Amino acid sequence: MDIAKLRRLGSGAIPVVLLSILLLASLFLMSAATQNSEQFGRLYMLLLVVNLLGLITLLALITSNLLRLRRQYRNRATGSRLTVRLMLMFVLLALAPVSLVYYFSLGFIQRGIDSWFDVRVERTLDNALELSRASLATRSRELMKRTEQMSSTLQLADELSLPRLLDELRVSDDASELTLFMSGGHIVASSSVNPAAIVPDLPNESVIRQVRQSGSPYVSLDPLTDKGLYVRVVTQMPSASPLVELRFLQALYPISDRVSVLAGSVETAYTQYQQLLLLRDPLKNSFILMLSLVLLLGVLMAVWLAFFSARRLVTPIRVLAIGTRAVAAGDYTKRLPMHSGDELGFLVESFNDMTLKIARAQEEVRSSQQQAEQERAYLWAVLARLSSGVLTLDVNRTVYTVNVAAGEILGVESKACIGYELNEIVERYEYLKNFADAITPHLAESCSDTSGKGEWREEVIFYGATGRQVLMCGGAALPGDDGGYVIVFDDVTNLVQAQRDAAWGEVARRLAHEIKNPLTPIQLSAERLRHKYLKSMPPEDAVVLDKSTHTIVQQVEVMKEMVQAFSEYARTPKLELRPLPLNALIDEVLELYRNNHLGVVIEARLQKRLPLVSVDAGRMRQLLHNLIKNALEAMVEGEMKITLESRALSERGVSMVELRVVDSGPGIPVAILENIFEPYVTAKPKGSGLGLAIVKKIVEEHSGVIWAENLEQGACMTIHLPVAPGNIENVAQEDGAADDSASEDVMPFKQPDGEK
Amino acid sequence: MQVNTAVDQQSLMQCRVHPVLVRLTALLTLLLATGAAAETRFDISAVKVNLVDKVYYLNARIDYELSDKVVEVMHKGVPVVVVLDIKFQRKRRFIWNEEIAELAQRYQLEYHALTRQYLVTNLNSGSQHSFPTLEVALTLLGTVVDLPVLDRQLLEEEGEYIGLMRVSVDAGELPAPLRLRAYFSADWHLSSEWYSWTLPN
Repeated sequence: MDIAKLRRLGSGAIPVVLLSILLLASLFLMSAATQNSEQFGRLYMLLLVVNLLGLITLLALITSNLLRLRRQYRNRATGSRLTVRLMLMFVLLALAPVSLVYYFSLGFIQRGIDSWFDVRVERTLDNALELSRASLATRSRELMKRTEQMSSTLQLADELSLPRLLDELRVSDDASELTLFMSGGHIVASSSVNPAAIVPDLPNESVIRQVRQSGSPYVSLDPLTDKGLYVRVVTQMPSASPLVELRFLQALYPISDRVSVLAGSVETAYTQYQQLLLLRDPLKNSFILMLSLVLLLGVLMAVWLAFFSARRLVTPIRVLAIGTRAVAAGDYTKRLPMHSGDELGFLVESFNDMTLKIARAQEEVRSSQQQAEQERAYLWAVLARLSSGVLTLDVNRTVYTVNVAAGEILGVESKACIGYELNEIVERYEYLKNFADAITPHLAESCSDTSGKGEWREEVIFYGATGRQVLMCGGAALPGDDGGYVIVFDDVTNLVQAQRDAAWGEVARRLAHEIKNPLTPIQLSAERLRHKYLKSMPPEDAVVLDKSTHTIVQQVEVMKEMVQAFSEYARTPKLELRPLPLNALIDEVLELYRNNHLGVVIEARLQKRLPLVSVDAGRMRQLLHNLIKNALEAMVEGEMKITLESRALSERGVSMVELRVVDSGPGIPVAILENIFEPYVTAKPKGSGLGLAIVKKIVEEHSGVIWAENLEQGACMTIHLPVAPGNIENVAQEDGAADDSASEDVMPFKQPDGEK
Repeated sequence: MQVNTAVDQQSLMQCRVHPVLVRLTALLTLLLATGAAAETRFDISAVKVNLVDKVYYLNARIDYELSDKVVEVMHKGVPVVVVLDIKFQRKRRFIWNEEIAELAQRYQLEYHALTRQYLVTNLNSGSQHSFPTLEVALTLLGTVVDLPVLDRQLLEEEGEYIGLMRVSVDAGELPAPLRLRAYFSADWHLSSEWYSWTLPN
């Protein structure tokens, strides 16, 4: 947290301003130091170092910023391009004027400092100094002569009067100090204006040596601290004898205040000018250094500030860009932090509002979608529980919905059909062709029918995967522009069968009740009439009576048989379906006709390896009997031959077993060919007219189909029976001797349903 | 009374304050005195210390050899300051020596254009002398006579003490514009080596 705080502080404006102020202050102090002020002069080097360190710090900061920016630029970080552009612009804006000012300032410094110096001034100062020296030299020579005179005077004086004489001479000659001393520095006598000065100011040894060696007096102007200029004259006292130690007289004469001040000012001016001359280049250099430092500092601060402000400016834009990218990627939950209250801040705020609204809209869409899906799921649940098949198609007749019941009824995988066109599905499941053909016209109709509701209803019979099926179809166009169609259908095969069974059963019961019951009394009555009156009647009448009663009894018998046959037809015993080999049944039945004495050839062309069929053995035998009997009855003359053919075939994707019974009779009259399977339709002179009706009934009970056709010679009955479920690929071994139990042993498959 | 004419290496070693500090100083010196390293034109030829009335008096002879640049600048009226640094240390075993006392004697040498005299001012005492020639002035400057440097009271009876002395030109006293140049110029890096001697008891 502390680090984060520090970083935030480090990236804020405060340190920039602080550092800038500090550096500017030190620059100001350094500038003051260059003016040679005593106080700042000492700080000069320190300030220089501080400034250089400041510069290095700034450089390091800028370098790190630059490196970071470069890295961001290379990584194509958001906003880095804009930052670079802004930064370059700021730096250029800062550099251009600063460089101009720097260039001209350099010139001004050079010329400004050069203008201080003038050859004439220099010469004048030289001359002034020379003049002062000359003037002082004149005065010095004068004083030297006076001192020499003094030394002569003193030479004559005796030792005791020396101090007094010195005082007198000092006063008379306006000297400030007179000292008589020996070569070793030993003072003989001294006189001074200042009584406090106990120790006289003696010349140093080199002066004494010089005087002694040359013999001429030494004259010099001495600038004494706090005392102004003095003329010092040292002269050697004439010596009486070489044995006596040499004595020297030193006289100090003050230069008059006025002269002293004037000479002093000339001296000061000269020295200052000389110093200036000496400092000419260093001064220039140090000014240029200062200026350069100021420039560098200014430029670097500007660059840093450029970085700083560029980043500040770009931050909200960068944030916006990141936010936009997030929104583009589908993240609407992104809220951008607010930075400022300006236009950019307004942009950010608007962006936040926008994303909030989008997020809400998205949420609404999602919830409504969820609701729709729930409704759909609900609908599906309802559809799935329906026993009726529901099929919806869109306008292109592409299957949109198929419920489970529809799949079961049509014998298709319901989910595999969704998304396919009706034609494509028919191509895949060929047995649906009848169904498709039946509904297609209604689709076109309901489509064109704009006025009514476009509803239709039709019974469709087709040979499906499980055999013959009767469907009650109903359909309607769906509302809406791209509504499509809905088709609802029920498998009414069993219902129709049951209804028919019930109807025939009722007829049979009525017949039995209304017709069969009176027949017996009729027969009995006829027999009684015959019995009672035949013997007593005359022979002519007796013949009539005999004939009539015989006819009555016979016809009643026929009627009884007919009623019996009919009730036989109407009876619907419970089917016991088992997967059985059809060939075995055929063989079994044909065995009964093998040794017929009718002169009929019965030929069996049975395909080996026939799939099992799910049939009731008894009913199937009856069917075979009826068919063979029907064929036998159809043939009256010529070559009499019956052929039974069995084979497996696959038609429209459905595996089935085909049984054909072909006779060599005259064929079925065309007039009744259509209704040949209806009860009491027959072309034969004798027969109940129910044989083929029963055949058809049995076939339909086994979900099969039957039709009759005329061949070139004779008629052909064709039966298609569905293969037992699960036995489509399995083929029963051809085994003529196999009975029911044996076939069960051979084919121990799953028990077929008792009820169809 | 002992006089060491040669620099005692061991003493020098022991007079070092702290290795890190020494290294830093060396680095700084190297930085500031590029090309002017170890320009020893001043030479301390003899040092004599007398103990009179429990006060140590220093006598020394120093040979000053000013560079042409310094003389030129002085003739233009810029005063040159010469510093006499004197230190006293107590020798210690294994660690650096203990600093006892330190003093700096500063002299100002200047040229008086009007009178063509060289003025030597003792900045510590304020006394001033004028000389007609530079040689004379330097000779006087190089002769230290009876300079009281240390009170015997400050020293313990036990213990070995050494004195260290060095003379140098103080470029820090120059006018600011000249100073920067002086720091980087060999002409201004005038100093002697540290001269050490053992203090008599």
